[in-house]
This record gives sequence, structure tokens and C-alpha cells, in this order.
Amino acid sequence: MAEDDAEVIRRIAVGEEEALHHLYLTYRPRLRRYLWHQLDGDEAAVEDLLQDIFVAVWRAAPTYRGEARVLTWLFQIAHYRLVHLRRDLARRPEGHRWVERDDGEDDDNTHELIAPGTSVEDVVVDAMLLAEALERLSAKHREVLDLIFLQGFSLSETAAVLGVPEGTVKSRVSYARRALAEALTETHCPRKEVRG
Amino acid sequence: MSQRNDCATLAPLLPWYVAGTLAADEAAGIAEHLASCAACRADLALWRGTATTLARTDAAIPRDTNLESTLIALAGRIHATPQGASYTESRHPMRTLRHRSSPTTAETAPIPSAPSRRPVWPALLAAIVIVALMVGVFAELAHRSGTGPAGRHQTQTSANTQPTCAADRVGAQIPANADVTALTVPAGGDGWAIYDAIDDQSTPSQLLRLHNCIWTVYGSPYPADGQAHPPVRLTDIAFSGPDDGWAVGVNMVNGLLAVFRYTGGNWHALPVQRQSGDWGWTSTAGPGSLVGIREAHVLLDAVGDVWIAAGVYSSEDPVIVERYARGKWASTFVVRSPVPGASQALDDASVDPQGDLWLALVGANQQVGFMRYSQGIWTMFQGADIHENQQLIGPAAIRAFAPDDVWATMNSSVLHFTGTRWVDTTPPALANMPSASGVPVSFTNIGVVSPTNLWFFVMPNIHMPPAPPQGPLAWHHANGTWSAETPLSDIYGINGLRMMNATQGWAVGIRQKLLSSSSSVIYGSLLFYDSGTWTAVGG
Repeated sequence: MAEDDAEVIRRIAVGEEEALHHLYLTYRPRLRRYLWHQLDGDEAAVEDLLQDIFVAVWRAAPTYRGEARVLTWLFQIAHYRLVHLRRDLARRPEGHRWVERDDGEDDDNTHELIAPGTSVEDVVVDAMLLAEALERLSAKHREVLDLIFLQGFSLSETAAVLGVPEGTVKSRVSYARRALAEALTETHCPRKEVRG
Repeated sequence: MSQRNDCATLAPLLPWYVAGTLAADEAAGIAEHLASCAACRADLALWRGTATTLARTDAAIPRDTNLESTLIALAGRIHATPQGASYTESRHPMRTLRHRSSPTTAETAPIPSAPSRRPVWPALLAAIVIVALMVGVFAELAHRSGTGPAGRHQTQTSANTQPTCAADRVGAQIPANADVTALTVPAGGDGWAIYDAIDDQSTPSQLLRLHNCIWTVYGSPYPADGQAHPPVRLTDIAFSGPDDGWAVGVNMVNGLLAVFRYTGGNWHALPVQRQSGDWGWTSTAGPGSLVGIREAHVLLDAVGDVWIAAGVYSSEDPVIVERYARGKWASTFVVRSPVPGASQALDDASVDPQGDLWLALVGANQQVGFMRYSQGIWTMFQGADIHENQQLIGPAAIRAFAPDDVWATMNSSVLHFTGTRWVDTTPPALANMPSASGVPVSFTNIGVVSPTNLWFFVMPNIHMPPAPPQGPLAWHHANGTWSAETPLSDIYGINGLRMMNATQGWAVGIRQKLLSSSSSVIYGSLLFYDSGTWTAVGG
């Protein structure tokens, strides 16, 4: 499959539009799902970015050297577009909703062992609470989980897509784990207190 | 290996174990460890629940009904998009700026890097291409070498001379939903600011005016002539004197550059002759589109020229620079990466009194490069030109006072350019800040009181639910001494400090407004600066 993809890119590189259409039909569904989650279901923005990604593929195909899987390469492009978009939203406080909560946590060694006495072993994984907690995660932490669980990227591929070291990916996973675990243990608290 | 060490090594891999994307030997090691580790089994349950929940949200995505129409649209776009690096030349059969000794060459010339240092950074900014659409280099050089009307403009770094405002006399009569984005306070005249409506992207920008220490609404920069005008989102404003002002932004209908000029006591729109195709993208923008001008900066030098630098949102994100000199549009530069599909963003721009222009660019993956345009020559500073060891990532900001006195930031580093090299002048105390406070410091803009009294402002640190800012909002560098400061407890960031006299100025303070339990907006408000003391004014 990977070899087929690389061949498709070679055909795109020599200007075969049919090959680009083939790639589009193959990967649009996956990229659409990925962007849908990252852009909170903003369909117009998803479509704009999808177009931009495949125009970029059309232009960049002659430079593709096969160092990454085609799938990884496509997601790298998609991620860069998202970074630009988020940076715009973050930098321009002109009424955009601030959905990016920057939680920090990009150090390479922030994975923590579960502290004694705070084991989450007995936590019942409440799907509703988990869904809410996932929604509250910052975009960059949610993106890591999407790439791992929904797109099936390995650790090294996730790092390649995001353009960060593997340690940073692990740090983001660790932060997400802590946030989700805390959200679940909050079931012992009255809801109003949790929400403030 | 102890149980604890096993956990430290294996627990971070559990998500990939659940996703089934680990190598067989790694998966076997984890399975063995799980049998004896209750804590990791709890984590496993959490990750399985996460996988299930995410899969459920994935299944809830509406069915794709746009496949056919988008395929047609894509075909249209690629027909207009030649492949490879020849794109620049094929779209723009214009001269490419090479060097002042041969300004008419048609070749694409790499921009000279700073001498004697090997760039360690082969990526996107390594050989950015500048396309000059209408060069006029010889005329420009003659103009800049002293034959022009020197000293006409007051620059962003000059001392102002407005009378002082008593702290109890400053005020603002402005709408409660005003989101202030930029301001300027020229010498001897009224101050001006741009504002939008909080959480309403469709409303055109309006202007505020500062007179006798009080801000009031001025309104639209368009004349009240009863005609319909395209809505404009303004992004920057600058005045060289009481009756010479410029405001720039983006036409919200077509995504093109919008320019307004204040002269003779009125604002009027100044047509920009260029079309988006000249700048390297196809104008398909409508309201909410991602294509078009991203953010424009307007800069005035002491020679009398007006520089407009703008980032563009398109498939390749060029940066455009327009120069307006002697009453007309004099030159256009399109700064782009030669790597197809690659992009760069314009984070900041500055011009020194002599007219040297500086751009702070951030490429894909947030890599930083600084570009200087001086006497007809572009110079790129990147990689080891800037710093031997630091990670060169954005955001970036820059302020130029003289050819040998330029301050810049990239992420959490402060740099000073001495005319020949960049020196790391990061405040020593900053090295311990991120781990001590838990908040990574990322500089976003530089406020100027004088060349020896600078403020380096930090990216807004917004949290949900709202909480007071964590860590300092600003690093103050006065006469060689650093201090970390959090000026006000309900201000999350500061932008665009502009001085009205030697001790007083105005800036935009970033605030946070809660919309619901899980979302909020940030917006700009007015801050009064008086000898190091900050006061919030208005809403």
C-alpha cells in the first residue's frame, strides 16, 4: 500500500491530475475526520483546509523524497495548516473564541507516576464525564489523542506529524492522562464545586 | 528493572498499546508488566475508555456530502497552480530583485545570508525568494541616500512631545463591547486606536480618537458620503504627525489589502493598485474565508516613506511588502519560500529612522528568521546567524532603533543585533522561570519607552476557568537591568505600547471575557502607562 502511495505521488509530480484525484478520494475521508475534530466541526473551515492540503500536495509532490509514509506526510501538511490557523486565532483577539487553552506541559519528562494514595484503579470510566473531559482538553493535547487513537499513528509518526520530539508527544499524552484522570476522580465531588 | 522504573518506561506507551500500534516485543513487555501493576491497569482502563469515547465522537461526524463538488473545486485550483519552484516566475514574469548592482536581472537570486556563519538550518527559510514586482531600485536608492525629503516622518522609536495627562484625567467613552487591537499617539496631535466588536467578526473596524487625555469614538475611516463601502478589518495604525496618518487592514469581502490615509483633517481610502494575483494568491476570499491578507503592519521611517508589510493566508503564505514614497506606490516585494507548498508567517516588522526595514518571519514548524532590507539589499539572518544553540522557534518580534541597535525576541529568548552579529541578551532570571512557575514564557511584542527602556511582553496566559495570570506578563529592561513584572492582575497580556511623551503612553491590554463554562473570548482594552505604572482605562 505504501509503495502504491509513493507511486501515486510520483505520478502527481509529473503532473497527472488523475493521480491527485485518486489520492484525494483515498485520503479525504481520514483527513476530513481529523480536521473535523480539530476545528470543532466548522465545515467551511474543514473544506478550506482540505483544499489547501491537496493544492500543497500538488505543488510539493516533486520534492517528496519518500522519507515519511505518504499518510504521515499528508498529516504533516494538515497539521501545519492547523498550526497557522490556531496561531491566527490566538494572535488576533478580534472576537474569535479562545478555544486553545495553553496548558504548558511540553517538557520531555513530565510523565508522572501515579502518586501513592491517589490511584485511579477504582475509577469507573464514565463515558459522559470522559467525553466532557476530552472536550475540555486543549487543542494540542486533544490532537495528540486523535492522532493516536483515531488515526492509528505510532509514537514516531505522531512526533513526525506534529514536528516535535517523541518526548514531547509523551509529555502531552502524560498531561492528557492526568487531566482525564482528574476529571474522572471529580465524580466524588459535587458538580457545582467541580465546575465552579 | 524495578516496578517503578517499569512504570516510568512503559506507562507512557499505553495509548499505543491500546491502539494496537506498538511493535510486538514492546506490546509483549507491556502485557507482562500489566499483570503485576495495578496502577498501569488503571491507566489502561482510562485509555481504553478514551479510545471508545473518541471513536464514538468520530462516528457522530455528519456524512460527507461534498465529495463531488470539492473535487471539481480542487481541479479548478490545480489548473491555476503550476507545480514546483517555477511557480513564482510563471505567475509573475517580473524582475526578481537580485542585487543593487544588477537590478534588472530576470534570475531568481538567493538572498545573501549574513557572512561568515554557516546556516545550521536547511529548512524553509534557508533561501527565501524575494520577488520585486516594481522595483525602481536606482530611484529608490537616490531617494534614500539623502535627496528625498528627509526627516518628514516621526518614527516609532522617536521621543514624543505630547503634554502629560494627569492620571485622574485620563478616560475613555467607548462601547462596552469594544475590542481594541492597535493604537498610536503622535507628537503634538490626537491619538488614534482601532477597535472591533468583541466576538463579532462580521463588524467592520472602527476608530477611536484621543483628545485631551480622553478616548472617544470617531467611527469608520470611510467618509460619510452615503455610499456603500466594503467592510474592512483594520490591523495597524501609525501617524507621523498630527495630520499625516495611516491605517491598514484587510478588505473583508475580497481579502485584499485596505489602506486609509488621514490628511487635511479627514480619513480617505487610498487605492492599492495591486491585485491578489500580483501578490501570489488567488482572491477567492469571502467573509470567513481563510484566503487573503492575514495581518498588515504600517511603518513610517524618517526618510518619509511608508512601509506596509503583510502576511497572507493562501496555499503558500507569502509575505508582501509595499512601499509608498513621494506620493505613489513605489515598490512591491513578495517574500516567499522556494519550497513548494511551504509557508511563512510575518510575526512582526520594524523600520529604523534611517529606513532599514526588518521582518520577523516564522516558517512552517515555527522556525524563525529575521530579514533586513537596507540600501536595496535583502539580508537573511537564520540558524547560526542568530544563535549557535538555541531552538529557533517563534513567536518572534523585532524593534529597530539604528542599523547597529536592533532588539528581537524569539519564543523565550531576547536578542540584540549590534550591526554585525546577534547577541543573546535573555534575562538570566528567565532561565529558571518556566520550571519555577509552570508557565512557559513566550515573548510576543516589544514595547518601547526609549532605546534603553524597553518592555518585552509575554503571550497572554489564558485559562479556563479564568484565573489570574500565572507568571510575569512583561520583562522590563531599563538601562541594562532586567525586572519581571505583572502590571495588573486582570490583564493577561500587553500589546503595542506607544509613548505620547517621555514618560507616558498607551497600550492594549488583553482581557478575558467568559461566554460559557467552557469558552471565552479575549479582547483588547486601553492601558495608560505613566513612568512604569499601568492603569486600565475604560471597559
